[in-house]
Order: sequence, then C-alpha cells, then structure tokens
Amino acid sequence: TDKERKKARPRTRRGHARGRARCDGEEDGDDDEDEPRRAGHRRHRNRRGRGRASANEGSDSEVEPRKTRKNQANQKSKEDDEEEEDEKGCKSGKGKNEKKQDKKSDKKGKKEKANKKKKDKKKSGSGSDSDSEEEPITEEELTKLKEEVEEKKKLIATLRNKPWKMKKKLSVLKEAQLFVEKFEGALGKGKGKKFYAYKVMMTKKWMKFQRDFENFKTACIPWEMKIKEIESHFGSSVASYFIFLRWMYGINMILFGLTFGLVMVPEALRRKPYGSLPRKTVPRAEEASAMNFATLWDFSGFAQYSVLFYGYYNNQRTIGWLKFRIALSYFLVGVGTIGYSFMIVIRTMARNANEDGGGDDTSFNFSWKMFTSWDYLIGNPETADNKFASITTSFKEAIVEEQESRKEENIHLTRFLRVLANFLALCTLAGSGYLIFFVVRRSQKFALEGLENYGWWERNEVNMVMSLLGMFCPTLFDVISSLENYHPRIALRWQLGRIFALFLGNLYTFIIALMDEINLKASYLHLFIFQLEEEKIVKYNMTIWEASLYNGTIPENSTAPPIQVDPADVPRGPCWETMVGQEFVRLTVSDTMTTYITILIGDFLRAVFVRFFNYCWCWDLEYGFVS
Amino acid sequence: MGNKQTIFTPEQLDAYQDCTFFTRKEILRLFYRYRDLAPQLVPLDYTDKPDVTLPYELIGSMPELKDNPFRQRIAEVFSEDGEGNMTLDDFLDMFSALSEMAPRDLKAYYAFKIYDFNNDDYICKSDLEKTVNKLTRNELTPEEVRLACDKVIDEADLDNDGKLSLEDFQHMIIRAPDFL
Repeated sequence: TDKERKKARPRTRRGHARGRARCDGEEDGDDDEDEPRRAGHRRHRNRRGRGRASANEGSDSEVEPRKTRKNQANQKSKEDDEEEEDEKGCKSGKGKNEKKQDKKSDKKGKKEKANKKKKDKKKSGSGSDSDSEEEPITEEELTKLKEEVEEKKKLIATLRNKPWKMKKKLSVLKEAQLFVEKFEGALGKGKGKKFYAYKVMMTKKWMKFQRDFENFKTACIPWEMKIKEIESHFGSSVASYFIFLRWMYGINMILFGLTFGLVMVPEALRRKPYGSLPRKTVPRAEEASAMNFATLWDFSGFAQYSVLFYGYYNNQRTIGWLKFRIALSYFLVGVGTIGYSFMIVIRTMARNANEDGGGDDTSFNFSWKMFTSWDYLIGNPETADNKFASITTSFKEAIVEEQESRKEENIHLTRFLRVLANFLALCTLAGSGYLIFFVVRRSQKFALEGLENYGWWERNEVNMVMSLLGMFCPTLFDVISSLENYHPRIALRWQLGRIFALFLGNLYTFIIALMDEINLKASYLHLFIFQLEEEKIVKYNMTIWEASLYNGTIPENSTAPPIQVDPADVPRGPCWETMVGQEFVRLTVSDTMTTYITILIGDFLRAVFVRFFNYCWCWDLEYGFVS
Repeated sequence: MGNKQTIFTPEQLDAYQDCTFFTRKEILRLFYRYRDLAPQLVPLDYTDKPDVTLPYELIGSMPELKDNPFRQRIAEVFSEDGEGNMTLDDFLDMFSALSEMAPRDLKAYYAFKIYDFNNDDYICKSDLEKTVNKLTRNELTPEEVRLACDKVIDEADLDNDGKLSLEDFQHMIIRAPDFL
C-alpha cells in the first residue's frame, strides 16, 4: 500500500534512469542515481523480504541493453547483480563513477559465495549501510568487511598467477572488482567518507598510471626485438649472452655518465681555455706533431693533454663561474664509481641466487634432462634439428655414463692424471706471466733506444703478446683438462677458474712490470727527489718568467692576476701517471682490435670458406677439421 | 593514450591485462597473430565477444610452435575442449603462461599437465616413454628409453607409487636451473 506505492514510484524511475544511463553512455546517470538513492535503498531492503519476482520487474528494463552479452544462462545471478548494483548505487554516487569503467555486464557464475556472505551480514546487521537510516556499523563487522576487501584486492593482484582458464579468471576478476567497489563505499561510511572515496580514487588512478608506465618501460628497452630474434634462431643460451652484454653496456653507460658529467665536463667548460691548469696544454715543443694520427694512436700528443687524461688539479678550491669544487668531485666520482659497481654486482648476484637454488645438484639428472632440455623459445627448423640431435646425444651420454659408473674405476690412475693436469696448468700460467714480464722489459729497452728505430711489432709488442696469450691459453687449458676425466660441470669450473687466473695473472704482471719500469726510470739517481725538485724549479721558473713579462717587476704576492700568456709556453715537469694511463688505454684499444680481427678472420672467413668449399673438398668440412 | 583501436573495449583490455602478464601492446599484437592464422574466421571486432575457435591444425602451424615436439599437448592443455581448438582467450592464456614473466610454479603446473599424456593427473611410465621418444625423435633404442624412464622414476618419485604426481614433479622441477 503506502510502502508499495513508494516503492513502485522510485523503482520505475530508477529503472528508467538506469536504462537511460546505460544507453546514453552513463554521463547523466549520476545525477539521476543520486536522487533515488534513499528510496532505492529502502526499496532494496524491502525487496529483501520478498522473492525474486520483484527483483525481476525492476531489472527488466536494465536487462534489455545488456542482452547482447551472452548471459542467458546466468539470468538468476544477474538478478542478484541488480540487487547488488542497487545497493551500490545507494551507498555512493562515487561508486557509480568507478563502475563505469568496470561495469561489463557479463557477470558469470561464482557470485553466490559473495552474495551469501553479504546476505548473512545484512541479516545480522539489519541493513545498516544506508544514508537515511544512519545505523552505525559495528566495529567487528567493519573489520570483517575490511578483511574481505583486502582479500579480494589481493586476489585481483595475483589473478594472473593462478592456473585457471581465462574465462574463469575473467569472471572471478569481475566479481572481485565489483565486491571491492561496493564495500569500499561502505567502509567509507564510518569515517570521513569523502576523504576515503577520494583516496580510493587516487589509488585507482595511481594503479592505472603504473600500468601505463610499465607498458611504456617495456617499449623502451633497447634491442629487445633483436634479442628475441636471436633467441628464436639460436636458443636461449646464446640469447642470454647477449642479454648479459646489454646489461654490461648499461652499467658502462652509467659509469661513463658519472665520470663524464662530473669531471670532464666541468674541466672542459672551465677551460681557460685549456682547463684549470696550464699543465694541461700541449707544450710548444710537441705542438708540431700533436695532431698527427700516429701520435694520436699512441695516445700522446693532443690526446695526452686533453680531458682524456684528466686527474690533475691544483689547489684552487673551486673553479669556474659555477664554483664547482673540482677536487672534491674527483674524489667523490672515484668513490662513487667503485661503490656503484660493487653494489650493482652484489644486487644482481643476490637476485639470481634466489632463483637458482644450488646448481651443483646431480640428484635429478635424468629427470631434468627429460623435462627441461627442450628450449621452448626456438622458432627455426634448423635450430630445432640441432636441438633434437643434441638432446639425443645428451641422453645417450647420460646413459653411457650411468653404465660406466656402475663399473669399477681405477682411483690411482685418475688421481695421478689429475695432479699431472694441474701441474701442467700451473706451468702454463707461470710461463705466460714470465713472458709478459720479459716483453715489458724489452719494450722499455726499446724506449730507451728511441722508438723510431723499430717497426710496428716492437712498438706494440706488449699489447699483442697479451692479446695472443688471452686467445691461445684457454685452448691449451681445454686440452689439459681432457686428462682429468671429470664430470663435465666440474671440468667446466676448473677451466673457468684457470682462465680467470690467467687473465688476472697477466694483468698483475703487466702492472708490476710497468711499475718496475717507472721505478727504473725514476730512480736511476734519486729521481724521486729530483722530480720534486724539478717541480719546484719549474714553479720558480714560472714566477720569474711571469715577472719578466711584467717588465721586470717581481710581484710580491704569488696570486698575481692572470696575464694573457699562451699556456703552451709554460714549462712543466714529467708525469708518470699519464704514462701509465696511456699504456692502459693502448692496451685496451689493441685488445679490441685484436678481437675484431680474430672474429673477422677466425670465424667469418672460416665460415665462408667452409660453406663454399665444402663441395670440392676431400673430407666433410662441416664435421671435420676446419670447423 | 591513443585509443585508436576498436577491437576491444578498454575494459576488456584492462581485464586482459589483469589476467595475463602482457601489456596492452602485446595483447594487441597477440590478437593480430591469432587473426593472421585465419583472417576469414576471426572478426576484427571483439567488443561483443564472438565465439570463435581456431582448429588445432592452424595453431600448430605457427612458427613458434611448429618445431616444438610437444605442440599438440600444449594446445590440448590450454584449449577449452581439450582437443586443441583454441579461442582467443585460450590463446592469450597459453602465451601468458609460457611467457618469461610467468612465475616458475605456474609454469611447473602447466608443464605437468603437458607431460601427462593420458590426463590422469599422474605421469606414469608410458607418459615418460612418450616424452622421451618425442624429445629424441625415436632415435634411442627401446632399452635405452626404458633405462631413462626407470632412472626418472627413481630420481623423482617421492611417494614410491611408480608414477609422478604433481607434488613430485613440482618438487623436482623447481630445483632445475634451466627450467624456463
């Protein structure tokens, strides 16, 4: 009667408004829906008492626009949804706002659970969440609600990790989202609703922003497509090498940026015109040949005095118009570089350590072979053939090994062979160390006699020798390791350890030899002291010389105003650090060149040769010698 | 955000992004790959969720799957009808689980289903034999195959029932360093 009439009116109005909202695109839906909130809610509460019939009438008008979705089977649950939506509409207009995004009306299955829970709560709470009624929600209900909302949120976040079919995931997602929205509105009831609603909206916006940012970030990773291609052609182990290279490249760029930005750029900017010291200019004597390519290649001449060999600063606290503290920045950049490298290596190691979980396990050998040897990223028939062959071989090997291990083995022979192999490896290492030492000494002898008398080989002997050693010794180690008869994984570790020792040893020998050379150069007489003396003399000369430019007046204070003297004319003393730096740079460059040339000749030419001459050659080149 | 595409509604795309590991661009790219398999069957407008299924032969001819010895099993595991005929949802699901962003336990779960040829929730000896033969393209002798299968059961079967259950399998595969 009265109640029913009241019910009837808002219901139809409501239904109409909703229907319109849906058809028009929901912009004006909000106003209409705010109004009948209370009435609708009252209606809802009353409706609860009845059966589904009333719900039917109310929701018919809204069903029509949604018929296009394939929901016939779930009509029942849809009616439940109508109820819920009414509730939601009642509680918060803002809720409707958000609902726009997520209201896909194909809400399939699995709502019963949520419904039932809500119903129970409602029954016990006696419809406590309404505007007009203003009955307080009890604390315990609030916490329970909160928990459930949290749970649903967590479910949404981990949805993609669940091993369900897509349909199920989609429906669960929708259900969870609706639930969360509806009750987020409810939770806001008790405490500053507007603020809570605002907070929730901001969170949603933030998540959307994050998602967009993720999308953008993945698009920005350099070389991603190329590496994927490589992966499909050659398998994932080759691709992992390139991923590692890309990582190294990133690190190098960062370190370079650090040094460049904080040290070289201020130096370059502050040039007066050649940096904060006259020491950094090309001396008059060398100016003639400073820009020759030969001298540049040797990293002397212009390069020697450029920002490439920075590292000298005087006692000025700050330079330039920016008051840049150059000395402090040198120190901090050094510390920063080391600290950063250290940190990033440790962080990457830690990240990889979790996933691996101990790689020395041979307890699941066969199982792993069976289940993990296929590389799912292969997309190329040639590679697939190779992969099949390698899997077959690996199975055969494992089986043979299994049979072998059931045989008796001669411990003593194995031990002896291993000791022998280690001894040989040590000999190789020692040999290479001595060779480097010898060569550096020789180069010093050459230098003393003047480099012009010798050809290209003598001049670059040290670098060449080091590169060649780095190329051939690992192969030697490989041959030695065949004596040892280890399990392949362990043999690989020994091999890597030896190569590491080789490179480290080479580097240290090189440095020591250089140090020696410098010491020799600098201490024939008390050259250390001599150097200091020389510096003093140079300074004194400079002051005198400046004075002479002032027409004979010796300035009383040493901080005379800078006069326009061409810095190239200023005399300066020797600098051993620069020489060491030059040696290192030369070594790096020649190493790179050697690598390029080796790859070109060693791999490319050889491949071309094999591919084209295979037709007219005695034995099968691809399987035999040259390959 | 350049909403120029009309294949999906924004809500659909968002829902897919929540349910898979893919970004928006990747989902669209996958859709185009799906469509390229059969342009006449797959409509360009998915806003009304048409019910389109592609038969297994088309799926198995994709370059990524063509050389995979387990492609049939993969398609069967991810398809709705269990025969390898996949809808777009299944397609997205499959690639999401196989992608590099999926966690290992999810992959382990699906790997178990793939290797379980007779769908009885256990990997028994015959399943193993089929796996080995598919991996080596029948190049091993039968006794080598038998030896390999025996070894696998030895190594991985923890509850000693002669076949691998999901727990056994997961326990074994989680420790594998090259399980990708």
